[in-house]
Amino acid sequence: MEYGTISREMIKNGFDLQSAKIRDVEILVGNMIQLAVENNDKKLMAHKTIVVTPFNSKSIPKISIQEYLNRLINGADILGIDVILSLLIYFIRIGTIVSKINKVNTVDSSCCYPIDYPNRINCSLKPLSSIRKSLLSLNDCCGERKCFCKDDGYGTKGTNIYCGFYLNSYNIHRMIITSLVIGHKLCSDIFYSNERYGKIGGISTHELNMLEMEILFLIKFDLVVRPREMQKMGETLLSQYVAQRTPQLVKSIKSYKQNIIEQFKAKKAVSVEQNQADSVESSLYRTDSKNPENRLEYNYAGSEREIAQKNSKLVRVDSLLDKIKKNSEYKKEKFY
Amino acid sequence: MERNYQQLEQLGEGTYATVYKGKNRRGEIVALKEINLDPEEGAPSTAIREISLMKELDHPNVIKLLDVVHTETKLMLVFEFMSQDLKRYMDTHGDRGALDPLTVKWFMFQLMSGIDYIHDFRVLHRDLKPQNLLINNGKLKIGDFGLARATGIPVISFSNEVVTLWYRAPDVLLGSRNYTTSIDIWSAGCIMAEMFTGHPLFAGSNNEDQLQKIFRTMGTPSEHTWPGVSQLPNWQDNFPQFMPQPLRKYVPMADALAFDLLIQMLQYKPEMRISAKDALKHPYFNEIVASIQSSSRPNNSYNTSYSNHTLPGNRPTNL
Repeated sequence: MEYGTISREMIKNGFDLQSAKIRDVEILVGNMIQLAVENNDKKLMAHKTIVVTPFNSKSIPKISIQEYLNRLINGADILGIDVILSLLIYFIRIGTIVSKINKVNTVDSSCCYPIDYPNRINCSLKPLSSIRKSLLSLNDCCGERKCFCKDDGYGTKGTNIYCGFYLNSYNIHRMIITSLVIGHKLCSDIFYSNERYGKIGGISTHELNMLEMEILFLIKFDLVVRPREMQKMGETLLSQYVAQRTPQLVKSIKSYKQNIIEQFKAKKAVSVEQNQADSVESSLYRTDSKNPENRLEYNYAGSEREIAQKNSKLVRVDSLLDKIKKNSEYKKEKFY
Repeated sequence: MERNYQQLEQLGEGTYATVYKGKNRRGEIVALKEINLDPEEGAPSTAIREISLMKELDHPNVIKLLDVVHTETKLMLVFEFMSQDLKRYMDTHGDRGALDPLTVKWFMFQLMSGIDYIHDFRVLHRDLKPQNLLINNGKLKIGDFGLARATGIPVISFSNEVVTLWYRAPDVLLGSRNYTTSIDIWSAGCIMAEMFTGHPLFAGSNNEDQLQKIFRTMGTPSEHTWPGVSQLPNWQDNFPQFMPQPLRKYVPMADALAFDLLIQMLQYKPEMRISAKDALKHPYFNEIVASIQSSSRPNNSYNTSYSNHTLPGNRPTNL
């Protein structure tokens, strides 16, 4: 399930929209989508229902979410992190809209087919577009701008099928490619035709065109993402990512520390030596950072001596740590 | 094509769309922009941008998008109806295309208000020209956001193929992809000069010719007058050298204040071009601002009140 790790700079400096690397953002977003989908799959399995939308595939595609995302990003030369972040923001916006539909049609079960998830399902690929006339049209409010934000526009036949819609393993691939295509067209001046995206993503141009319209009207063209929103999303993703990985990290650090402390308690001499090594190291850094040019040579000779001293101490510390490691491994083996 | 809207006569034809006059179910006149969907391209990026950006914008000097309708092969955008664009207005109302100074001032104030609003929204229009400014009863509204885009995100993929040649800023002509809101200001400056004279200020036939037309008038820039210019992709060291001509003689009808504003808009260095917000504070507009303030109720901001002026003869009455 693990798919690449983000760069150290990102972890060290935090998320910064202006300097974030595309690969890092790709991993963060892919990671988040993966989590959401796994979560939803479990929920849907428990409820034994699935909503069949034009985004469903007949079986779960073999390619993993992260691999698919990577394939699309590289294949379509998506260079802006804004496109990738927008993808997730569109999903969230669609989620908000869908939850409103759910509230409107709480008892309408005609759109939710009980199935044995995740068995194969028959999906009806009936495009909404053909039955939808003017989704945004609220005929009575010409002259006002409320057409786009009025909530009562959902009563149309079309959107009903999105009642109870979740991202899941069946629809996520099509959701990703379609949202990326839309985001790329909006954010970038350079982009490809749907034909090319379809080839990269493995779906027909006709289908992609249809899905594109589905999303555009489902999200009501609410596509513009402000930099502030992106920055916030990036920060959230990063903290999520770190939190998700720290349990192991914290555990390993804790046990490591514990071992050292135990060892130090047993051998005080070692701890003294360790402190010395530390102080040598820190003084070395101090001289390094302050180094005025005229004292360079002197310091150089001095620091060389210090380095040698420090190295010999470090070697000792290293061997000690090795011992500790071996010890703990030995203990583990014994334990199991 | 759709029951809710009745299609009337054709108004114009663009590169990717046809515009019709139409009627909604309540009998109100609207403009219908019909976009054909290309089977390979999918939804045109111009339409995606235009819809998603314009649905966020709400200002008396920006045209309003009222609805979007999708049928099998077409996407139809419904806009508020405007009787003509600035180009046609100049042809029909102007003296050989030239408008009188008061009308120019009035239109410029509305144009700069609209630009200020969209720039505040961090949107670049990138295609300002008389054909994209719509006029109705003395009101001016900015239209056609097909090339517009939001800014503020690291710019990797800006194209320099934006803005119709005659209104394209010199930094964009020289290949800069790092442009900001200042490219819209250059366009606005060209439009202002054109309103005064009745003909385009710099009417080049291609990228190179366009640059030369600008150089001929404003002088060939150098590292001295425009630091960094020689680093731009399309810069050539053997550009023909021209001395700057007094711009004044190209726009003799402009008074001193109008000319001062024009000069501040047509600056070579992008960062030296006046912002829309500052332009609105320019003394050139003082009388408009004063007339709006005197005629508006106390807590009415001038942005909304001036657009409600009745302008017989397309001119503010109380100026």
